[in-house]
Amino acid sequence: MSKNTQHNVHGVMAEFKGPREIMQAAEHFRDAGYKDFEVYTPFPVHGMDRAMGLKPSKLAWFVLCGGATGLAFGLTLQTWVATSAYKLTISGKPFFSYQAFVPVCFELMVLFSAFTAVFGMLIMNGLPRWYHSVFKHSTFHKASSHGFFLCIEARDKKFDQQASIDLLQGLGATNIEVVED
Amino acid sequence: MKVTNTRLTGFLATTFPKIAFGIGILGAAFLAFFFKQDPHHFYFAYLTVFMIFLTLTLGSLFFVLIQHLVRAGWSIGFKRIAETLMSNSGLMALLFIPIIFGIPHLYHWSNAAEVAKDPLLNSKHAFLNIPFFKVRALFYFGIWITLSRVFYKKSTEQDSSGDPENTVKMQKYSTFGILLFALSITFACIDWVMSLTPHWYSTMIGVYFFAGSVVVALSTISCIAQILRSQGYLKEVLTVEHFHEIGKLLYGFNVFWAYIAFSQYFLIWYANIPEEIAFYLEHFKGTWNTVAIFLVLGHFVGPFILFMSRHAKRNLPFHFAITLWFIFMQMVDMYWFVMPNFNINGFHIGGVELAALSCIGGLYLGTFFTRLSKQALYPIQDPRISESIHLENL
Amino acid sequence: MQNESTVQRPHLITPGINFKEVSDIVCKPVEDKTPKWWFIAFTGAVSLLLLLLSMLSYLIWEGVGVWGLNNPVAWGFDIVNFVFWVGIGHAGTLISAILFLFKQKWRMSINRFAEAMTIFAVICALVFPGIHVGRAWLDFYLFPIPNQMAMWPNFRSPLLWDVFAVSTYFSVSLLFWFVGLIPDLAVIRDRAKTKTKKMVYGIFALGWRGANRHWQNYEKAYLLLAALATPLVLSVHSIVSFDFAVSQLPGWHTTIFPPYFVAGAIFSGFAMVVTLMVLARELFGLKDLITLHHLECMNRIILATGTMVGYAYAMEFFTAWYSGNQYEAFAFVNRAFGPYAWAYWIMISCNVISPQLFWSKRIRTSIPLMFIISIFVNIGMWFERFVITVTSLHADFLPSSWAYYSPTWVDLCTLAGSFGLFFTLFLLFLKFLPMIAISEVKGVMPEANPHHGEAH
Repeated sequence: MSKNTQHNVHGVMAEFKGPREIMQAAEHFRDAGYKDFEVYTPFPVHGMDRAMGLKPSKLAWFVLCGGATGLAFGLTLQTWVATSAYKLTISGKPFFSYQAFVPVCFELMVLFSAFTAVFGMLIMNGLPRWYHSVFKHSTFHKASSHGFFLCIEARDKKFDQQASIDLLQGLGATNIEVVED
Repeated sequence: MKVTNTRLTGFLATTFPKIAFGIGILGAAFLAFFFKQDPHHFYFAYLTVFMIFLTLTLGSLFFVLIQHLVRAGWSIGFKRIAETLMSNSGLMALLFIPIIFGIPHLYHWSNAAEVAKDPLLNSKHAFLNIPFFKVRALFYFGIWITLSRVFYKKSTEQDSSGDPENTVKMQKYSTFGILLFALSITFACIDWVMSLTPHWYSTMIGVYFFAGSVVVALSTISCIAQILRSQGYLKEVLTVEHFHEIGKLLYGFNVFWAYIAFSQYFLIWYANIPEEIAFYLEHFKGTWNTVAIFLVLGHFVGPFILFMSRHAKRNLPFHFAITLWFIFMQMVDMYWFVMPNFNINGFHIGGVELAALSCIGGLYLGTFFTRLSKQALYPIQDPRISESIHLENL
Repeated sequence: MQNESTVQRPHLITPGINFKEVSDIVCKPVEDKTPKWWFIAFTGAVSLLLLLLSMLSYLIWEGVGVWGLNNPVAWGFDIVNFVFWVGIGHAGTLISAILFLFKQKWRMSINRFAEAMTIFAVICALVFPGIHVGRAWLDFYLFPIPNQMAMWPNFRSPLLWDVFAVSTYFSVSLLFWFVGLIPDLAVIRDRAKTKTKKMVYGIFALGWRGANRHWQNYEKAYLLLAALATPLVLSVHSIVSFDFAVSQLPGWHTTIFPPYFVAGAIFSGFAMVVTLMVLARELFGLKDLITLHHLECMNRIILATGTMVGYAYAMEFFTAWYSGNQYEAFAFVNRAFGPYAWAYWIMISCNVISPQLFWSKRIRTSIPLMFIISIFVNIGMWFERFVITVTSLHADFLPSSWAYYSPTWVDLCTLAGSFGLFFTLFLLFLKFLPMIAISEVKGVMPEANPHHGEAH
């Protein structure tokens, strides 16, 4: 941590005019070697991941595991029920009629994948979380509708409060504020 | 933007078609020999290979029609390849002639003595008879040749005139074009393949062949595009983004094929009605069962897992391998559908199948590359070309 | 060159609107004073809902004998209504998932609306399998729940696949809808004037703050949900069609049923979206976001799917003759010319003929005409299920047991009541939730592109 950082500062936050301006700012901070800065936009700005230097989301791998679990569960459940727990002779078909198990296997695969996708996304994002420091910024209520915000977080190794303010000013940001935890 | 040559020149334009035609004629000579030996076997093998290339041609026709129908912009770079493939419908009409001579060998509904004995065949006689069969074939080829000629002409005209009016016209024609296409492919498959086992029927058969056609056509289009790209063509209009897109479409249609194939099998398996299940019993007999399992694993399960990720679709060498694999699987599919009517007890690949493949394949590729070299490799004046070039997958 | 405009892409929303105005337009119905017509409509819907509840109570008290079912026709209005509502529920997921994968950006203005409709339609659909079993208090037998009798459901029965398919579909649609809602709930939260409103919307917005690291996972989740929902939507109506098609009954057992049911479901769902959308954009002033272009696109899909349904009818008829099977042939001749010919011809004229009018651009872009045609399609698709279910059953293999099925007043009131349930939920949605996906619409505006306005 830099010396002149107060203990309870979350970061320096500023508002930008639009997608283009905020993307240029993000590129600037990425190139300057900042890691812990965040961009807040009312909709996903395409190309921002690259501009911030983020790695692609790993969610798909979790979903793949969820789907595989659902598939295995469906197959095991049906096989066990039909061949051992509750044997029924239906229209002369074998107990293990794998063809007939396809629909339920498929549905359970989709169900498990979808749950993994949604709850995995929420867990990776640390949501639900009703309070966060950035909400303290005086114009942040615009962020969900038409405001574009960038926050240099205090935990970044390169963080320096005054330098960040100057940088943001230089990039044409408005409403530059120091946000406390 | 770096402009490379938009015309096919060199080996692929001059020498390769000659080699292909040579292989085709050599194959034809071998076929004549095999015909003398066993005409019955010859006709079934020939029909199998004919169906492989017919589905490829029709799938390409569908690709062109649907791109116009939905006003797609991403696919401009692939369009000329598809247009050239569909223009082989004239060649397919010529290649259909041997099948007309083979009717007595292939279709036992054509045998008057059999029909007299069999009340079911008798009741279908109004539809399944030789004159009507020929008239219908004439209609199908008439539709396909007209559609492909109109679209090929309008598109190549635009190369020089740059008139967006051509695009507007093609969009208009694509609406009823697709209706004619749907009806003709359905009944062509009923006539040429489903009636091989004239007692059997399935309302889904047209959709099944349609799905397979689109898979093989998308694979071939992507495959040829990659070959041309490796020779330095098309680089300015086709990037990894476009291959990613066509890969997604290919993946989706392959799942659709599996869905249709499964539903058809599943409903017939579950109801277990003698006249329907007979088809699957025959196609699961002996080593045909192995082919069926191979089809499930190779056409669906394998590509479903391997081609799922975005990295797989964007890895061009892998993408190329998958497209070749899909073309091979369409061959297996057609083989599995047609040949059990000849080899009842199990599959057996002989010289005649290979001769038919080299004959039709050689002539097909020779015609394709000759025609491809006559025009630009992509519609250079298409009004959406710039939209296509700027495609990005996010 | 005068035709250049026809190959250019139309504007997705009225040009010149900025991000803030999009939020304003969409949030207006939620923030404004409730209009009078809403209360009138809501009263009507709730009365119908009460009718449904009383019919259900009467049914459970008295037993399924209050319905018009008879011996060969053991599936009547219950199954017809179930399939009808599940079908309506297909448009939402189609628009949210399939059109999303196909990058059809025009979907952004209508997907929220259609997804809400999906969920409410599936709720209506779920009522019917629950009650048609007779002893509704034993519905839990449908699920594989361990019990002291060591009884398990039969996984080789299509009716059980239905339980899994429809409940999976409901859960996934609900998740999909909710995921889409999160950023928009945050918009309402941030604009809220009262503390209660801020709290309630705040809780459901899960503390969304629009961080790019969140958007990254969010977009991935959305894409994956779309990729999962696409085969799901196909599977659900395919499995519904299996209920019929795995049997041996002529008219039910035919291999084209799965794709044909899916096409029909999309067809009816889109018609319902058009019906409701035409009203909503008029009443809530959403014409800048839901333009005529959107409606025209939907009418094209109605035309396409209507034609597919026509293709399936034709294939069924042809194959019934081609099969040479006298029972098959009879089932179809009986449909068209037997005692239920009236229902059959209503179906044909509404489903096959009426959407063909959309070939004309004038009709496709005329609000009153598309409204009328979409209602015809809704009626036609209800009759399609009626024709499939009843005409195949009423004259089965044994002529001595043939009978004519007529619904009772309970059947009719239950059907009417199910619309009450649907519209009650729908009106609540219009009042309390943003009916257009705010963040998604903004994402496809030209201004959203970071390179917008740069010279190439």
